[in-house]
Amino acid sequence: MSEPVTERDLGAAADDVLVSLVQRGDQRAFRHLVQRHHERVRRLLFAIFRDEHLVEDLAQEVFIKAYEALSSFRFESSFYTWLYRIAVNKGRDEMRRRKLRRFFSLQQLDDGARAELEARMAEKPADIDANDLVSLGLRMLPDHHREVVIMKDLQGFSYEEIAEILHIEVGTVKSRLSRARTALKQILGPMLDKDTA
Amino acid sequence: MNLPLPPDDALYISRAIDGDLSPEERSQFDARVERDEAFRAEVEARRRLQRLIHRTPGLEADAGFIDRVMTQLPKHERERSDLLPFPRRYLPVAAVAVTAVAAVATFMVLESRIPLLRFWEEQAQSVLQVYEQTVSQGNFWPLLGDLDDDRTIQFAFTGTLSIDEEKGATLKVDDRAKDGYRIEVQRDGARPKRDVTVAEFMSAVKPSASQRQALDSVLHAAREELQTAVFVGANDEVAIKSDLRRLNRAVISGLAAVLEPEQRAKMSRFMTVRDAPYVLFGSDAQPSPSQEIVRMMRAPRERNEFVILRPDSLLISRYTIDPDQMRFQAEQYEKMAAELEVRRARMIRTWVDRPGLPEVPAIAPEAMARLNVRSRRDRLSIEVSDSMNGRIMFFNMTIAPRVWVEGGEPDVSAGESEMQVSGVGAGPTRVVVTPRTPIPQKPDSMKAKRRALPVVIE
Repeated sequence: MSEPVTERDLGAAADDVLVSLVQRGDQRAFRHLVQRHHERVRRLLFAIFRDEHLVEDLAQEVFIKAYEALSSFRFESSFYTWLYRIAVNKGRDEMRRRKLRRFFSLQQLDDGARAELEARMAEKPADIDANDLVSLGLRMLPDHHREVVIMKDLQGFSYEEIAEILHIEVGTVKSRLSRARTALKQILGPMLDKDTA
Repeated sequence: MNLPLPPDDALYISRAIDGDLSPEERSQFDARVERDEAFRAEVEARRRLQRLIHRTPGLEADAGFIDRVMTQLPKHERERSDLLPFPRRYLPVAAVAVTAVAAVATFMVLESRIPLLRFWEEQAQSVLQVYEQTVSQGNFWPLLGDLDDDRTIQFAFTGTLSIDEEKGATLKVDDRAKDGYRIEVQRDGARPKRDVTVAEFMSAVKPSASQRQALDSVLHAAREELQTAVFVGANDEVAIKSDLRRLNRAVISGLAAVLEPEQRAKMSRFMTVRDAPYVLFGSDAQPSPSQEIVRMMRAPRERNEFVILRPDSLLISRYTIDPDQMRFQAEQYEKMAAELEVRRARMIRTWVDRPGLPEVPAIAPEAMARLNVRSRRDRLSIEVSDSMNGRIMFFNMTIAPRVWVEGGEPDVSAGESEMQVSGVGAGPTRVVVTPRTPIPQKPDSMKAKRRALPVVIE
């Protein structure tokens, strides 16, 4: 008969070991998985929505969905890329739900973001908050462009990790990232002429 | 003035910023930065952008988050257990029993077919994966997002639509077969002998101002339907609405329903001269209100099902996709025009520019139509056989496929040309197709060897 697994063991165990334990019904192991990954999941969702309350709800849903789906996890990818894929999909679902619910077309949403961005750009340089403008610029990108910028430039994922999370080729990640950055540079063009170093 | 950076340079700089260049590429990059002032300025601007993005503040840590998640778990466990038809404590016993029975049955029945079944299981999973991770998540692009009214009417009247002028690639819907239809994506596909334009059609039928408005409404509705009929996925999957062929006839009957009987006769001639593969019947019916026509065009979506094809397996399956989601994707066309160009070119390359593959039968999750895919050189062909026979009736008019008797045509032979139609109009309608008799409408305009068969409604 094997020894009981202690909290210390769980803290030192690899993700895959914890997942196996959860699959055998050990909820404590799941707590450790949440502990390890919740900050990154919350930051990912926050970069998309910039709304702490919404992020709180969505992040909880991500982990509950992960818990429910863990029984069918087959270790074909790493746990964290699998988890972030759930988070990305959750973000997309929420984005789509919001757009449909408000009967807004994407163009209208973008027009709103553009108008806000232009208004902010017209402010006195001392009043401009560069962080807000970057957030607005990100909002104006198409979803699939925004995702790669967030994952690469804000979350620090590698090309390979992004490819695994989004189920696309590494080459697609590179080209999509390049196009996203080009679009963001065009949106934030006037700001980049200033010295932001 | 800042000119847009060539895409290759943009990718080059993007990779350089990420530290993805090889040593050789890096030294070439540094040398170019040194000598090319414009390039240097672009690199600097992009580095400033990176610094700005990196400075964006994140989210404060939330110490209570983990506890809140963990307290939710028992509640979800309970909710899930409530779905079981027996007490949860019997779940392990039930699972073991079911597994044992399934294992014994599977072993006995399928012992000699394990490799084949494993293959099907893997393929079914792969299609499901496409559906879950690509289609249902919105990672697909409308192939026909840039349609205009001319191309819409061209498709309705000829069943053929150019999807890439440069490569000569066409999408063709051919429903002359007795028990189904065929969708083809074809490189260097045969173009219709004459293009059909809205202006030509209007000139032929000479509508009044109010009729013109109604005809425009019908075309607008048709365009929307067509835009949500063919999609390309992130990894070159193709999703095609399974009842795409219904649309052509719905458009033709919708246009005809707006017109007076004498204008309809002109429309019929117009179709014949343009070699349209359909014949219009019921020309004496009175015009219908345009709102009613548009409503009817959109209403008979018996199935919002899509045939989904994956390039690596050439396996197809049918899944239902939320129409709102389809429409939402199509609405985004303006934003993804550039992406779509790339997808379209890749799709044609993936599906059409490759050596032929053997025919692969489809897995249909429900008992529905028989689906077959043939990928030959220059052509992807999807054959759909279903219970919906060759005739569709709208507004007391019937649009039927013109059935050709021609050497080499595999679709219909004299002995197979009887069709049974039911569920249209007031009651079942029996349709008899008599081979090799000249069609009563404009037979002279037909080629001698391509004689249409008359359709008699009993």
